[in-house]
Amino acid sequence: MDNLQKQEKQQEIQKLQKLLRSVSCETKKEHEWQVLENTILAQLDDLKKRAPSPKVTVFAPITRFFPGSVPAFAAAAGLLIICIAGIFTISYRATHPKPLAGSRILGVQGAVTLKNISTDQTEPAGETSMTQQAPILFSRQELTTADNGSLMVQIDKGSSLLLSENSRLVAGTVNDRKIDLFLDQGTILATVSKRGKNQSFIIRTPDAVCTVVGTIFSVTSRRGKDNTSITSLTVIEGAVGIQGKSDPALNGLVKSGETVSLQSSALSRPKQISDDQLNIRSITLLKLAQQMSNEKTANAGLLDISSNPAGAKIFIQDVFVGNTPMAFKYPNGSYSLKLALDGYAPWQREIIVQRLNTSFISAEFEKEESAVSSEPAVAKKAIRRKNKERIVQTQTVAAEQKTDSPDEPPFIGILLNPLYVEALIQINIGEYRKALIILDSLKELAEITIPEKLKIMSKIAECYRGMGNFHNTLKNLTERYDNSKSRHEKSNMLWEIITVKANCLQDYEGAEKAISTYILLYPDGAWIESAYAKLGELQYITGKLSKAIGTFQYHINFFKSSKQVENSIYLLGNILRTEIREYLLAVSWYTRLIKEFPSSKYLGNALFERAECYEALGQNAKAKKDYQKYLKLFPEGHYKTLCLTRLSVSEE
Amino acid sequence: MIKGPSEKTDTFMDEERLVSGCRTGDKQCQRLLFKKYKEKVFALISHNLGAYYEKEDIFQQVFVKIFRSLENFQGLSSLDTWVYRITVKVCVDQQRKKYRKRQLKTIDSPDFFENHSVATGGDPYTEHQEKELSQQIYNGLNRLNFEKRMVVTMFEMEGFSLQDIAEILDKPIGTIKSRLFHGRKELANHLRNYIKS
Repeated sequence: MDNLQKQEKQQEIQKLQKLLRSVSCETKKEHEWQVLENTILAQLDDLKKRAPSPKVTVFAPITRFFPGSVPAFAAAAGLLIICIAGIFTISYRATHPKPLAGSRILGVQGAVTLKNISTDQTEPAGETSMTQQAPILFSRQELTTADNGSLMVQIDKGSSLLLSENSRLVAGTVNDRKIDLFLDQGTILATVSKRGKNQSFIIRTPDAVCTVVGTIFSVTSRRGKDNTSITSLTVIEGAVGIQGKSDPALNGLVKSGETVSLQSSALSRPKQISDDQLNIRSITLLKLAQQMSNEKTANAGLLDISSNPAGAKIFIQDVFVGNTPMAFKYPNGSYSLKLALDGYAPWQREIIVQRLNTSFISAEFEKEESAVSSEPAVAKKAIRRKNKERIVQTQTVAAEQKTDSPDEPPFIGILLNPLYVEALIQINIGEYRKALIILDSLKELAEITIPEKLKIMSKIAECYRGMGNFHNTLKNLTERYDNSKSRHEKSNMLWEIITVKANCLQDYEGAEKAISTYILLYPDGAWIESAYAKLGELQYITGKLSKAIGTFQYHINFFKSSKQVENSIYLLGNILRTEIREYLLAVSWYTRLIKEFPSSKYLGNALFERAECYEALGQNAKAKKDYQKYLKLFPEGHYKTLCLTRLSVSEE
Repeated sequence: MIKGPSEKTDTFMDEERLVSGCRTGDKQCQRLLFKKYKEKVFALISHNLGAYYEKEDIFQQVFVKIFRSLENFQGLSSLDTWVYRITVKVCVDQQRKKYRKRQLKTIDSPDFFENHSVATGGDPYTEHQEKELSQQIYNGLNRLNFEKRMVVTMFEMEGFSLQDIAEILDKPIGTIKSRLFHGRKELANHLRNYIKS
């Protein structure tokens, strides 16, 4: 029985091996290898030129003064200098600690101060420190926020924290391996990336030590009635260890979705997080800030807009964006921001969105004067009630109007959904499967409008591409193409379908059909020039040579300014030389390429191939001239040996 | 009759001369070294990383690294092993960097057809089936974790011996065998329909 199973497995492996060996690797044409070879060698030359000059040894001047062997005096003097420099460095480091690389301020709201405890120097964290890209966090630094103040700090590449109002945080040891922070009072919300083997992230409070592995969590430190310290730990993702400072036996591991508090040497049992504790907006804000700071080319900042009362409509440059409270990413620049809430006077400000920074905006609404001043106290209550009703009504109407009003980009509403934001984050970090699950669930929601659905589907397509599932990518694109109403969008989507078919699925026939449709339907489309050039290539690939020749000729004649014309000319010459063997015609196209595009990447190939055509036509003198020209222009070129051989043969 | 460009060059220069020539910046030696390894290195990159990477960029990185690191080549292993080890290291780095993200943006590049091989001109139905099969195989390989994928592709597709793979990846041969066993098992499970038919 065992033998039978073994035999079956053996057969299975043999079949698998056969399958794997049947996969042919993508091959390159000679001229493509040539291009790669030349690029690599050019890069090497470039790097060589940029290499620094050799260093001069430290002992060179000493040996000049004391010829012969390096004397003991020089060694002793060197030692002395090192000692003095060491002492100086230690004393300097004590007062000027080295800031943690990668740490920076992401956003400031209200009064926030940064203090160097060693030197007692205090500086307010405001606009200037926000624009500084230099590292900001160092050992023995105190960060304090006042009433209505908050501070968002990036600690390292994967970690950041949001310090709430009335908080005091002191940085203990802060370096690449250890982050040790002391929260004296207040609340911090932190996202911490997974720590390595020798790395640690610790947050201490007066009575507890929280050890983090890699997670999202918040810690609050406050004073009780009898002035005893109370620490609350809420874990949103991952797990965090908590231990009593006075009694290390008091310890536990708090898992995601749980909260505990430690007071008077007693650790409470873990409880489920309530909705109040799960501050989605702050988490989204922190995640967005974190995500944005990792994008080197990010050209946007964050806006965190809140209002009292909440639910006001946010308009940026008179375009509806969403309702307060809301945290979102927005491109750099200065804009006019308007918040509107029925029954209240509109609130308006000019705002500046700075790259990689967060602007916190909070608006206090005032009642419209006409309504307030003329009403007695009893009537005011009734108006308030009415206003409340109106707010609810206007929100519902706004939701219904999303698809109709041209001023309000319809899909923007989806940005309010934390699940959608989470999906975007997952895509950004390459976790396409997780993102796909979230997006699939969002797509099925009843209240999603068609434009929102299309937006979600475009993100789903991105996930499929990331996962390498091109069949589903194509399905998704086709569905979007069918559902889209905008002609511009449709043309772009069709082009995308063509690229996926040809580039990812190697369905050249399908791509050719789609490209013909594109040319027919969108003669004014953005990709029309490329479409003709690529159609020629596809026809060449699929062996429709006469069609390919026609397409290339059309492309060359009607899109003279197109960048791809030289490509079409070269390929046309190539077809005529290798496939049709019309050497005379091929010569004319190669000549055109050489004359019109003297700096073309195909110049070397064109010269050599034209020479071959001349040889085939029996015009050896012309061939010889071309070989010589090739050697002159490309003395180290790929065809160098061949040219030399053929020249020597012709001379014989 | 016109002869096509010939591949035949003096590729039989011994390893030592080739390395010392490259170290001194001899262009001829550099070109020979490139010619000697270009296909194998490109195949390794293609099979290990799959469709969604800028293979040409990575290929260039590998060769620049090879030429720049030749100074440190002590001859403790063969030049082949050393070159493939560098290739694998660059692939691992790329995998860690999640290079796919950047690749996503280049899909609309106007030169996207440039590097495609010309179809063989065979029976379209067979060609279509072959393409689908190879797509499925790559999907299956994508599902393996990177360590297993490397061992499976190097052993089954590139024809390296277990000993060679162990040297290139700097791992005990037992580890390589184990990765191969589990990698094959997972892949066979994914491709069971094709194997049974």
